[in-house]
Amino acid sequence: MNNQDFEIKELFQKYKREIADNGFSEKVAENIRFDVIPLWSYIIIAGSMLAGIITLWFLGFWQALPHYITSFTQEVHNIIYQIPPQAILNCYIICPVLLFGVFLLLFWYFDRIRQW
Amino acid sequence: MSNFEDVKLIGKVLVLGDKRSFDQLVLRHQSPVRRFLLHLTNGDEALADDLAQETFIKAYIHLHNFKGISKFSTWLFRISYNLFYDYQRSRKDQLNEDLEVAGATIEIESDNTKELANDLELALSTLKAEERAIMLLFYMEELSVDTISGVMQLPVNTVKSHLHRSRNKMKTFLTTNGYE
Repeated sequence: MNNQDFEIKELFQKYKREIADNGFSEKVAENIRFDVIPLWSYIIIAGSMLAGIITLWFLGFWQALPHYITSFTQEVHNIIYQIPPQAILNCYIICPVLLFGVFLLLFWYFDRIRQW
Repeated sequence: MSNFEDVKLIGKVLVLGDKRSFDQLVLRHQSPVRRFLLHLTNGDEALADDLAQETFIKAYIHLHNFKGISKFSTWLFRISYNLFYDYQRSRKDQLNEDLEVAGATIEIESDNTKELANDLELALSTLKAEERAIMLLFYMEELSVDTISGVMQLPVNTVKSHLHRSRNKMKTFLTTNGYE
């Protein structure tokens, strides 16, 4: 490095300054949070939950719940050995699948939130 | 700045999903990245901070692509330069007026630029954006020519010739402005 190069380097080093964070890292953290969980995922989660609740309501899941608990083994037997009626399918297959899906989505959602 | 510490923090982010470790990485590297972008944008603090934020967000999203061959800081410089380059391309007409060669008679207009109005800023204003980036990485951030070639995705010889040309431009400017 010759003399003039050294002068240029000196000039650069003279104006080299450390920039204080001043909330910059917090802004980045906030932006990452919203970037990782984009709006469309909120819409999907809310939509799935709503669809699940409406479906359960129309299927009369709550009315079928006591029956579901007491005669579970019998209905499993029926499902295995004979073609089950639509109502039984609704109560024993579709509803648990929907419920499971909703809880899975909720778990995923809260897990993402928890990380922040 | 320890590269080992960076690798440890990156590992925590990738393996444990520990976001606090990424906060640590931002705290460790925000100053050089923001400084580089601040000088690159001719002292436009708001623009430099926006680009710096985008840099870290992009780094977070693509962290799994960081192979650890280069330093984390070098990788960040590369992302920030690419973002600046994209920004510059998208607003080429406007930036042509603001950032391209203005000669030694550059006039300082914005408040931000006034704050940073010093010999270095004026000398840098005489350079093209690409040349400015190379000078900043070489003289201010003290990166080697090989590393700069990786950051800017240019052949080593091109970096060397840019460096030579920019140095001469700056020397001419400084000589005509009272430096020996």
